[in-house]
Amino acid sequence: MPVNSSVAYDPSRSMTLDPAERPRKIALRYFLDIPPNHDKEGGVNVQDPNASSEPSSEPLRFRSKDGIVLFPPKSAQAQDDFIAIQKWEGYVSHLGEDTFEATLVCLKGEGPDQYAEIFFEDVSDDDRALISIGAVFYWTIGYLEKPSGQRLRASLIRFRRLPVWTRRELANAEIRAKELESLFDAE
Amino acid sequence: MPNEQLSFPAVDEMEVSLFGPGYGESVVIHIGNNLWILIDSCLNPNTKQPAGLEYLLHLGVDIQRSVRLVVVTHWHDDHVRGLGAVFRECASACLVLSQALKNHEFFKLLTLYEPPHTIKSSGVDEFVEIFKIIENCNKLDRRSTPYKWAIMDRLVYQEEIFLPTGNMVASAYTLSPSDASILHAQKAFSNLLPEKYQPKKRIQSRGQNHFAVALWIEVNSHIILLGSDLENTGQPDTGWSAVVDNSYIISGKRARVFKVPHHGSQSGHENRVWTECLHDNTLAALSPFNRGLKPLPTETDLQRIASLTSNAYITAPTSPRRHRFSNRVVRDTVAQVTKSIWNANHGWGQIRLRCKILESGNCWDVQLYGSAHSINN
Repeated sequence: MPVNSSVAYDPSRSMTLDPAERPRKIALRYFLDIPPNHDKEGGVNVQDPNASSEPSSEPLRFRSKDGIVLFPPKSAQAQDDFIAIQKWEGYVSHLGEDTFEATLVCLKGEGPDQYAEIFFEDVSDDDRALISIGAVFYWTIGYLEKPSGQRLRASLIRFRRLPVWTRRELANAEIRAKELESLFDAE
Repeated sequence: MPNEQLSFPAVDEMEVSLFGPGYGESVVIHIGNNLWILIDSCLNPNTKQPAGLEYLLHLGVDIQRSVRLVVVTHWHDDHVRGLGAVFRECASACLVLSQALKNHEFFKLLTLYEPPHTIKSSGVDEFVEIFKIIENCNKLDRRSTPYKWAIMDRLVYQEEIFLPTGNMVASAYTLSPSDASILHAQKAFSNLLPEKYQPKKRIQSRGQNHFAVALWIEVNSHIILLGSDLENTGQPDTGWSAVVDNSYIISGKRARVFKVPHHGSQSGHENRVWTECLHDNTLAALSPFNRGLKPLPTETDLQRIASLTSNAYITAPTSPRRHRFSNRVVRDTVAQVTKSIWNANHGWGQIRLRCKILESGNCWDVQLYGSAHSINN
């Protein structure tokens, strides 16, 4: 069977993968022999499309050109869906002992701007290092829907990874500051 | 707004209005004969419009011609929201800015933080807009003197006001910042500048209240002292100590209306202001600051102010107010993830003081709208 072009190796897509998993996933995508009937989760089914439409108890799997059966990479399997009910953009204004203070602006849901003390422990380990005065984050509350249909309540606090100040930006600011100085000194 | 709130002041009537939600404040002054001064800006939480500008538009004021002065007392975001729009609309007004902001480091900060990193403005964009208007005015040769820099004892506005019952003079002086505060400004702004390869963040415009512009406004025999967020620094050459000790404008005079500085906080309190610069039982107006774990004013602050005058008013409640989320999942999760959470703005009120310009003494009439209330009860 021909390789399905929609899942062929795409360098830009691979950059979004977890670095630890990237080499294995790239290799798999090169050699996969994938049938056209993708499911909605991005996973693929190797059953014969002409076969019965009854659900199969066979596990999801792929077949390489050499006929070797390969189990699909994790990312191609069905994923959880996040259903957001309430979402805020926040910025940190003070750091406490076990909490940080933040102003929250509603992006989705209800309510006026809020001021909150949020527990550090509700932020993932990776993001906790990013908590500092002025740091920007999103807080989403909703349901995590599993592929099996199960629903879990979820609170997701994700800190933004803003780019760093570049030498060029700082140099441009210097130029603009001089322009403003000369504007006011000329008076 | 109720009809009574939208009644236009008489030509010979002076008005001082303080607007404030839980976070932010704005002052509007009618100096007579349909001439107005706007000081700072905050947004009406219901309409998201600049409070002072919205009020004048509701009154039917010709904003382009009738606003004489727009004062930016300092750069904190609770005082500058909507100022760009205010200055743009008030096309014949002169802008007054603290001399502490005429500073290379501050101009750099503006340029760096102009693209917002958050939805909520940090206030930097308001200054960027103001400076762009000034630049355009220079290019087009409009508004020959569109701005003035405020320093201690500077006359920033004076005009003869024509009234049916006789003419009189209105003047506005800036009482701060002091020379020492201006010198400190450069270092303070330089500390806020980011370094190369530091990650971008939202700028925090806290502190530096001793750069703020306090105003002394005289209209006939009426004097108003607007304290902005000026604080006591513990140093004799900055803050209120510098004003009381060194200002010659205020010497021998007393104001009858006082906008209490820095939301009534202890750090904004200078006892000599009350004993040397204000009449007994002065009319005091203030707005709260409901951010952070220590909202202002505190109970102690309110008791102190109430002990100094029996005519003290505040625009909004000081106690935190919680929003009840209608969605059960949101309500439960918020309760689990936060130690405390409350609305950023607790109310919205206007304290309006009016008096006949040619009358003297304590002839002020107080009207309270929205959540504004007396703190003496």
